[in-house]
Amino acid sequence: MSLVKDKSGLYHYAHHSVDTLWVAGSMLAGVTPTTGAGTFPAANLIIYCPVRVTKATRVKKLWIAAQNTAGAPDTLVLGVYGRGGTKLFDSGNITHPATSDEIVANVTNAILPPSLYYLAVTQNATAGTFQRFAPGAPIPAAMGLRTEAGAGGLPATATWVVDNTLNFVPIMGMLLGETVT
Amino acid sequence: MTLKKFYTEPKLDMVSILGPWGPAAIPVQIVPSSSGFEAANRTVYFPISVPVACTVRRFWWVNGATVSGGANITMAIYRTTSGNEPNLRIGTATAVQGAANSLQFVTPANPVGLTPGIYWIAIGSDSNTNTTLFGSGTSTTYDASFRFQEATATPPSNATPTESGTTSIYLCGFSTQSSP
Repeated sequence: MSLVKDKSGLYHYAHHSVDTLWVAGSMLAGVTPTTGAGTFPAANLIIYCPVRVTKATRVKKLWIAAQNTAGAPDTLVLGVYGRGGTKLFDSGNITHPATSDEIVANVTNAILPPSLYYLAVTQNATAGTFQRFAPGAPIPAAMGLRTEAGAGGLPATATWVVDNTLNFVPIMGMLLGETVT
Repeated sequence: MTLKKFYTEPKLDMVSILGPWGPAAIPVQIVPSSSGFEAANRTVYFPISVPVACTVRRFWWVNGATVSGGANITMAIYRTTSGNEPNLRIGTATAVQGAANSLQFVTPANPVGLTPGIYWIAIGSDSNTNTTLFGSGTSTTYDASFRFQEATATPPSNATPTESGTTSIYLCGFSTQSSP
């Protein structure tokens, strides 16, 4: 059981998904950027999104919002990093599907103690499209997002930077239950 | 009823007026954009609620599209000593406005340790000519809930806040990390 205080000071129970949509994330709770479909900003770019975990949490799956893609079947990887930049686990390679749905990947029941974590996503090309928030740059940097010009996949240790040009906030998270596939 | 034993608030890396520790009273969802600083030689104070011990290692703000005014921007953090308003400055840093459309970080002379409580983030500028920041306006009907101001370009060691005369909220705050 966990109680989480939201932006208005109210306590409520932790829910089934720790993600970039909820106020329980660590981004700009007062900001409402537009959402919509967008291609991935650059091949092999890694985007790191901060999220708060407020109780010891067993992570069953990772997910990200995908949009139907007519392009090549790009390969993406989802992962979770500690606040110091160490990778804790990742999904392995996932083929971007030609559907508009959540992409869901099982992980090995990782347990996270309460802390700030960074959800990570990278993709090897830009054709694979996602649903995402699209605030103007550099608002995502102010939200605490970081990026890295990756070389394919997710590295063991992040070498992240403040990216004043990023205007793409992935809609992604960690699932604590088994139902969503 | 004891709630704390169920609840652990993680320390944030980037703390913002518009983030989870910002004023819960801001009653509207906004999208910050580049806009002119409200007045030369003015400091604005915004409350934040810090729920966990942390350290201010850098202040930051977001430069807008026009920075040619070369304004001196000063950030500070205050705590309350009386009256439930900003009183005592406990950390500050300043710089000339730098690159447009970018976060700008400034480092205080010494890191500032915070214990859980209410603090005030201050941002001041000596110019509003060709000086833009990312922010948003709200309404004069409720700005008393989330800001004070003072007629000074540099947040003073002891604040003398006055009632807010405008509605701007600026996208600014502090980082608990030295980098990135």
